[in-house]
Amino acid sequence: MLAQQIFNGLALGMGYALIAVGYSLVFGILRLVNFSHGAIYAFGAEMAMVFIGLNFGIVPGIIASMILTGILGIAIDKIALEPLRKKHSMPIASLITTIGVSNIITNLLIVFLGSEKRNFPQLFNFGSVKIGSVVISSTQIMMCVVSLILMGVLVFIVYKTKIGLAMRASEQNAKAANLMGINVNFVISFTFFLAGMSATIAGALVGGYYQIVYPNMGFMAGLKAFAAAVLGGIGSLPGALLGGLIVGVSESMAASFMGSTYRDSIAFVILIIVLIVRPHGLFGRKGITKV
Amino acid sequence: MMLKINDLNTYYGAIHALKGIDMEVDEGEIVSLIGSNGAGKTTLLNTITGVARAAKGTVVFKGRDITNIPSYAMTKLKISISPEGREVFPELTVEENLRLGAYIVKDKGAISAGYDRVYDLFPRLKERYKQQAGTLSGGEQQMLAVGRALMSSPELLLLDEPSLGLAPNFVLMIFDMIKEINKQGVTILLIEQNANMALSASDRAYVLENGKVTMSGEAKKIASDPKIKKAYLGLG
Repeated sequence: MLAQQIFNGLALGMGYALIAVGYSLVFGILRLVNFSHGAIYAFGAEMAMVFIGLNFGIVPGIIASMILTGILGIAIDKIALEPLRKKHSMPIASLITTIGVSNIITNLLIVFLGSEKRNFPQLFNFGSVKIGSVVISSTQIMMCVVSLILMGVLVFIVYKTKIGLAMRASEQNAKAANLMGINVNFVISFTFFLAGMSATIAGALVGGYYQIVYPNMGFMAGLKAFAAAVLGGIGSLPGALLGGLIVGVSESMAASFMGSTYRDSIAFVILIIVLIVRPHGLFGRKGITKV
Repeated sequence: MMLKINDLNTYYGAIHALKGIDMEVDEGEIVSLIGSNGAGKTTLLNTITGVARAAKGTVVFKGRDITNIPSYAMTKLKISISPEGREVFPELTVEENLRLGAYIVKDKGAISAGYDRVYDLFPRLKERYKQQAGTLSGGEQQMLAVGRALMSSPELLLLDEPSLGLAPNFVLMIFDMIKEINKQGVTILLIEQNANMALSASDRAYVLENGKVTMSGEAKKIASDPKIKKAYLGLG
């Protein structure tokens, strides 16, 4: 029972981790918590379903949605956030803007697709693996595999490529990065694109896991993933992974041992405890300063 | 004429920071810009590099009007800057900082030649190439900022307060390096509060007061002017 819940939680936690990296990437470069990220995740899942419904096939449908959702991320930054940066407005203005954008996206999804829950196709179906009394479904295995691969790709991009170096430089000193010849606004767009793509993969995986998608699916998932990102140390990719797994496992444990009414609150209880002990999160750097 | 600045005006909010600056830098020169705090030296550099916007006037580089071009386009034009306060990337290594200086350079050979050139000028950076820039001393960070600016093989190098806050032996060394870099064919516009050192290293100089050029000419002549001696050189 315990081992079973841990495995269920790990699969779920991978989903949270993929949403959490989106918060971390954008926070890293803009020092901004992008509260529209949960809605972006829902948009990605919904669009994947729309494309699959248009007979794209499952994988091309998800890829088409990844691109579209990545572009949505860029559009949010260009339309709503970049003008605020240009005017050197207070950080709180951008923060509130992202909350507004979140509502706009969710409501547009409701207007065009309806608010009801719709069936999402099961993505992976090749039976299940049984280890002792623990049953792991192929969906759960693939959730972990796909998430780990994506995490690896993101770490590679950030730490081993030229654009990744530009991301890290812009994160530490945007003005100096500009003077080096880096178009920082392009780097920010690229970051929003990556965040949108990861959120879509998370949306498709979680949608495929529960076989359900709906416009509001990003609200609670977004908040929990935000908790996961802060828990792991916002701005840190390994932190997002660990935070996501902790949130996923604890949620799964709470649901089965304390009753399902506790599942949504446990992530925040853990967040509060961790932040009291380690204010910068598990992998957080001390003294992140806005430069 | 490499750099020509005509009637440049810049505002910071309501403050009229530059009130019609005219200035020229010839190829191969070291030109220094001296003046007290708040005279507008850094604002002038910020306006040239697109960090601040010019309200009026032009900046012409090698015959091309570059007024208000975006900062990230400067290195492509072969202009680079070692900014005030050094502005290194603290959590990146020395080598990564240098690599970023050559961000626009596509040719791998040119990049490794850039490393060689910088490590040759500043052997101490070579010793510390794997170290995070934030852990370097102030003088080493200054070397890194200058080295980073050289990585894009600039024709014009802008140096903003390279000696600020450095120990005297580092100040001497940085000025030696500035002369050495100039000998390698790089034109230099130098902004300095240490007017003594700046004037002795430069060919020509401009004195900036309250956003206006109040004196210009050969550095030696300016250094011997009684008013300058009194106001900036701590003599007389």
